[in-house]
Formats: sequence, structure tokens, C-alpha cells
Amino acid sequence: MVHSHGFGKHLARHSIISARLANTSFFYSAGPHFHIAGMYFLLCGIARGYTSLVLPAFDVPTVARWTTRGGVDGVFLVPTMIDSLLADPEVQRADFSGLRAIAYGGSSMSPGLLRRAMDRFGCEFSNMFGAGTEAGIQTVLTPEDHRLALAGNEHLLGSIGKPAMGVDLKLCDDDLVEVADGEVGEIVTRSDAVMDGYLGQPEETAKVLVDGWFRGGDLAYRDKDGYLYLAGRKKDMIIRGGENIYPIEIEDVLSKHPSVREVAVVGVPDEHWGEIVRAYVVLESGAAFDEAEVREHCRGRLAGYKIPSTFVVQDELPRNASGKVLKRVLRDGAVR
Amino acid sequence: MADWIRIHARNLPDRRCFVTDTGATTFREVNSRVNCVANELARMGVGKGDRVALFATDSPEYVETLLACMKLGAVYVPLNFRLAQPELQMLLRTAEAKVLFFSDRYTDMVRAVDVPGLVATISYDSSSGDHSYSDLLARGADVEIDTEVSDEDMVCLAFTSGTTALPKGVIHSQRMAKHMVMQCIIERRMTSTNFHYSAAPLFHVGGMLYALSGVARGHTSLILPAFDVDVVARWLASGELDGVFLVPTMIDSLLQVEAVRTADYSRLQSIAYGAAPMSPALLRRAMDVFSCDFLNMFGAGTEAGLQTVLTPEDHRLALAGQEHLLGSIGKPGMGVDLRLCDDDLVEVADGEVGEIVTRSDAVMDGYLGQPEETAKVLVDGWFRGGDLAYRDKDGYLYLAGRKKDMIIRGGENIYPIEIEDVLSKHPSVREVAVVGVPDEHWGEIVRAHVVLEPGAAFDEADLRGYCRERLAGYKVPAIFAVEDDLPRNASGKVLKRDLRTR
Repeated sequence: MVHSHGFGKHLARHSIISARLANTSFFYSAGPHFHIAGMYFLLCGIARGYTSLVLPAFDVPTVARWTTRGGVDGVFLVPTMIDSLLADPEVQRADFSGLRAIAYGGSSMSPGLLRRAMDRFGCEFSNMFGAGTEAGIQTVLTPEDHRLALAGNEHLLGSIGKPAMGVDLKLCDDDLVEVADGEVGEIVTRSDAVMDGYLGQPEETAKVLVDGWFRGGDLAYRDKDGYLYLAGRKKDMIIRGGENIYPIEIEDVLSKHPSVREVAVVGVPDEHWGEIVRAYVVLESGAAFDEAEVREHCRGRLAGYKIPSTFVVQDELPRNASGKVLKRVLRDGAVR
Repeated sequence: MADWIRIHARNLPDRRCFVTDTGATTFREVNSRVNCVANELARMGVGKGDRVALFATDSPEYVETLLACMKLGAVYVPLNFRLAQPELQMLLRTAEAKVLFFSDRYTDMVRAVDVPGLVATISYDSSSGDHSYSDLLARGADVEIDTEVSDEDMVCLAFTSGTTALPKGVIHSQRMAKHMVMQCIIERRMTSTNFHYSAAPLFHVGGMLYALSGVARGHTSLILPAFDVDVVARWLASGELDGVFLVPTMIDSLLQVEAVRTADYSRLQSIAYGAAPMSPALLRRAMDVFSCDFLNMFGAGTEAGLQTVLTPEDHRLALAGQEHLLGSIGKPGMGVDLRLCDDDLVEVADGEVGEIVTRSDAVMDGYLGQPEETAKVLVDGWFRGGDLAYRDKDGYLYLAGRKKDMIIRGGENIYPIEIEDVLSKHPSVREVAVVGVPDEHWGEIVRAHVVLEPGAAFDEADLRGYCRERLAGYKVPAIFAVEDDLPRNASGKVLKRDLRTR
């Protein structure tokens, strides 16, 4: 992915603006340096003149120590890291009054986890979503949105917010025609922070860059207030007997079940339906898995064809360095 | 830049974009109005690169006109509404204006201009032009125009304020204008939920940028026709504003209003000021009343954007005992490479006075059609604007006046600001400006123009003694002149050229 100076400068500026970073900040990003979220928060520090904490890797006790009073005033974490931090006994006791804001990304945060995090850290939260490497920050759920959510608009916690500053965003069908509000479409954006293309791969570039617009395969819909909600990756969409199924919808329902800590839903090949729905579940510590009961939980909340055909209990979900669940690994495992 | 209003019309349709004393328009409404104006301008033949001049007082329609130009890829030319008729005509000709928007009050001047290539005049508030603004809104189609532009394309032609000589047309590229807006948002710490007022006029980069920052960031701007103490006092006291930009004399005027002194400012986050430093006494009074953050934003706005910032943290340091910081313009703003140089552009040592020379994405492309003038101020991408400053050991910068304001008395360089700083601390002195005036013996001698505090008496011997205790003898003004007020340009800067010729 070719990043021009223009891309880099704009991504740094937009990150500073969206994360509200002042030149007096002391910031830690848990994104690794090779990843855009790690690299750009560091470059923002150099551009803006604030201090960055650099750690070799995310480690719960170390990060817990640095986020307590007298340490950093802002952090970028992925939700699973926040969950790990909250499980740490030091974090349960520590004083976080010096922590101004937690930005998160990489995946959405469950309402339960966010509430626990807001109670414990007592700071501002923002969800920064983007096709980072190819098109920078795309949307932001702001601290004000998080407060609205806690004041009764809880559905906002499932939102990735609204387009970030300077980002022209459309939700489109396969022919790049905008879909109506409420309908699922592919996120297509134009901004100064869109890559120049893939090095030496003009055909691959042409598939994702059309007249300066970037289409990265993320699916979303927009509610009547303009908030965007992810509907999964285009390639993760399951087609069961001709019906489009968005795994995220099923994941949202399952993650609200008290016994479920993490969940990932994928489509697996099926002779009859083409694809069927499989849910990989990580249980809350001490919880037992009662498939019939979980199935019943789904039945009250999802159309019948969306209810997983199979459930698989796992110790953990495979994730990449930025915390995203590797559905490909799960699918490959299913085939094997 | 053209995308900004359309993007927010989509994402924040019902948020207020512009608020006036009589109403408000949302982002969606503004975008629709801008589309109508842009389509009507297109029908008049305005296209990419064409110049559209504005000779008007501040209004939301003024900003809409800028946005309409952006959608067309046309170049907006904001003109100082204090221009005299011959200046107006000259600038319109220099700019090769195709269309002129104007306020009704300037009808006579506009009717008298003779500008080849000017196809239409449009009045904002009457039918005294070829068209009225309301006609454009009524006739225009609310259809998006998407003109392809690059960062190198000209978006604005802004004329220098002309405190020195005849105005020069400063070329703002998309790159420069975008970067100035980013600087403004970042340094001003603006979020998308702010409600902001800038008292700088819209034709001035300080006013225009704040309004455009609101459009870019998606926050709300209060737009008033002109700075009026009572009106601004009422808005401040309303408790609705999150941030304001004022010049120090305005802050002083506001603090004299009873309602301002007693209102609740729990929502007001910050007051940014510029164009002139704030005296410690005034700042203390302001901080007591408003109890918010203060920022000093300094720059060669038209030519090189924001250059330095004295941050809220610096202001708190100042009040915690480091009072000298209140005389500082702070440190270079984000993305600004700043050097203090001698005449040969060699950096001077810390503590020595040098010319402020900067390089950033917010440096102009040059002066329209004036390559020699451009070469004097733009050297290898570095802009030298004639502002003098020195740097203390902690890296803070202090203005030492304008290069051309420097007084040379018997071969000694004298920086007026040093004398002004001393005199402004005298209890009887409210405002002061020091200039050099020709003298047969010394070449130049020092003259101080003084505005007294209300009720204070002028005691020349006392002032002279006060200076003598604090300044080298040759810097003590030879002449004192008492004034009712100081001549200032629209952005609040003292017009020393006018004082010198008094």
C-alpha cells in the first residue's frame, strides 16, 4: 500500500483532531508500530509535540501501571485489551484520575464491557474506525456520543459513529450506487488520506480505488440520525439458501447472553444450503454452556434462518496484531 | 474544501451552521443555499479559476458565497470594506473580477467602478445590483456541483492589509487554505460540538478561517455584521458560546460592560486573541471575569497562516509567577518551521532580535503578477514577513516590532515595542504606540503616541522619569503626543504609517 506524504500528513492531522490530542498529552497506543494505529499515534506525537509511551508489546501489568495517576493521559486500546485490563486486580484498585480519554478501535465494544470500562476508568471514550492502512480514519463515535449512549441511547454503543472530519462517506451497492438509509451497503470513502494504490498491482488497485473513492469491503448501514453501524465484512457475509446473513447481527445478539464473553460467527460450506451459520463462543469464566438455552436466547431476537446451526466453544478467538478476529482462520478450521 | 459543507449537510443535517442575531441556518440549509448560488453563478459563466470578489460586511451569505466559489473551483477575492472607491476599482481590476458581491451600503461605490470583464454585481441585501442574493436563491437549482480541483489550485486571492504600501494580491492554494483551517482547529482545540464566535471580519483571514473551520469541523459559528460591544456582550453573557476570538482592545471594551462582568461563563472554554499582545493587567481582569483558557494566536495570516501560539498552559504558567510570558507570542504552531534570521537569512543567536522566517504548508504561493515582490519575501519556500522577534532560553518568542517600524537613532537600532511595553505599564497609560519621526540631527527620533486611562492626567515629566528608570537614555521618547484613540486597521493592528505622518 503506497502512502504519499499527503496521505501521511492528513492522517496525522485527522488523528490529532479526532482524538483531540493537545501538545501537552502523554499518549500510549497499544497498536504495534508496523500497524497504522501504532505508527500514526507516534507520528502524531512527533507532529504535535506531545510525548509518546513506547512499549515493546501490550502487557497487562505494565499498561495498568502506566495508565494510573501520574502516567499517560490518553491511550488507544482494542476492546479485548480493555477487557484484559479490567480483569487485573491492580486495575480494580488503581487511581485513574489522570487518564483523560481512551480511544478504541479494531473492533466494536460490547455495551457491557464499555459500561464496566467507563465505571472503572471514569474518562472519555471514543471509537475510531477506519480502513487504516488504505484509507485512514473513516468514522468516529465521539465522547459526546458515548455520553448520549449512557443516557439512554444504548444502541449507539453498537455504532461506529459518523464520518470523521474531511471524510466523504457513502454506503453503496456493488455498482457503487448509494443505498437508502437503513439498508446495508459497502463503506466507500474519499479523503486526503486515501492510499495511492497497491505497489505494482494495478488490477488489485483498480478493484478498490474508483475515481479516488476507496471501497474496502466493510459493510454498514446508517440510522435515521446518521449514525453508522457495521454489518461485517463483505467477504464474511453468509449466503444461506439465497438469504444474505450479516454475522455481526448474530454476534451482537450472542454477546448479550450472560454466559458469552466473546463470539465470532462465520459461514461454513453446506451441501444443502450453500452455507450455514456457525458460532464460535468464548465463555465467561465459570460459566457453563447450555446450547438449548443459548438457542432460545437467539430465537427471541433473530429470524430463524439466522440462528447458528452449530456452536463451538473455544478458549479464545484467533486475532491479528491489531485485535481483529481472524475469521479466515476460523473458516479454514471449519473446513478442516 | 468544497466537500466540507456537503459532507456535513449529509452527516449533521440539522445542526446549526450559522447563527445570527435574528436566526439560524442548519448545515443542510446552508448547503442547499450554496448549491443555488453556485448554479446561478455557473449560469453567469463563472467557472473554474474565475474570480469572484466580495465587498461586504459580515453575514452568513458572505460565507455561503465562499462555499459556492469552492464548489465551482472559482477563486474568491475578499476585499476590505473600508477601501476607498479608487482602491476598490484598482483591486477589482488587479483581481480580474468577473462577479462582485456587495453590501447595499456600498452601492454608490460599486456603481461607479469601471472594471473590464466584470459581468455582474450582486447585492446581498437589496436590488441595487444587477441581481440580488435572494434572486439567486429563488432561481438557483439545489443541485450539487462537483468540480475536480487539486491542492495546487488557487482557491482565494486575499489582498494584504496595506499597512505598509499598496495592497498585494496573495495567492492561497487549496493546500494552504486547508492547512490553515487544520491549524486553526488543532491549535484552537475545536471539537465538532463547539459554538464559536470570531470578532475578526470575514474579509480578513482571521475571520474567514474561523468560519471555514466551523464548516470543515461541523461546528456552529455565530456571525455578526460587525463587532458591537453591546451585542457581543449579550452573546457572551448568554452562556451559549464555547469559544471566541477577540483582539485585546475588544476584551477591554467588553470588560467595561456591567452585564459581562456578572454573567456565568461555565460553558465558555476559551478566549483566543491575536493581532496584539495582552497586557498582564488586562489579562488578569479577563481571567477573573471569564475564568476560561486563553490563547494568543500570532501569524502573518494572509501570507503564511498561523505562526506561533501562546497556549492555555503558558497563560497559567504566566499567572503562576512567570508574568514575562504574557509578553510572549509563544512557540511555533504545529507544522511551522520557524527561524529568526538576519538580513542574509542566517539564524541569529538566542536572545538576539531577528526576522521571523517560516516554512509550512500554510505559506502562500506568492503575490499575483508581482514576481519581484514575491522574491523579496519567499526564498526557497521560506516566508519572511518583516516581523521581528527574539527567543528566550526556554524557546518562547517575543515580538520586537516590524522591521520597517524599527527606529534608527544616531546609528542605534531601537525597537518601538520595548518602549511600548514600558509605557503601557504606567498607571496613566491605557494604550501606546511608538514611532520614529525624521530628525535633522539624529536621523530619527522616538515619538510616543499615548491614550490615557479615563480620568488620568498627562504628566510628561513623570512619564519620562518612568521610562528613564527602565530604558537606556536614547530609547526614552523625545516627544509625547496624547491621543483620544489610535488608528487601527480592521484586524485591530495599529496603523503606524498613519501615526508617523501625523
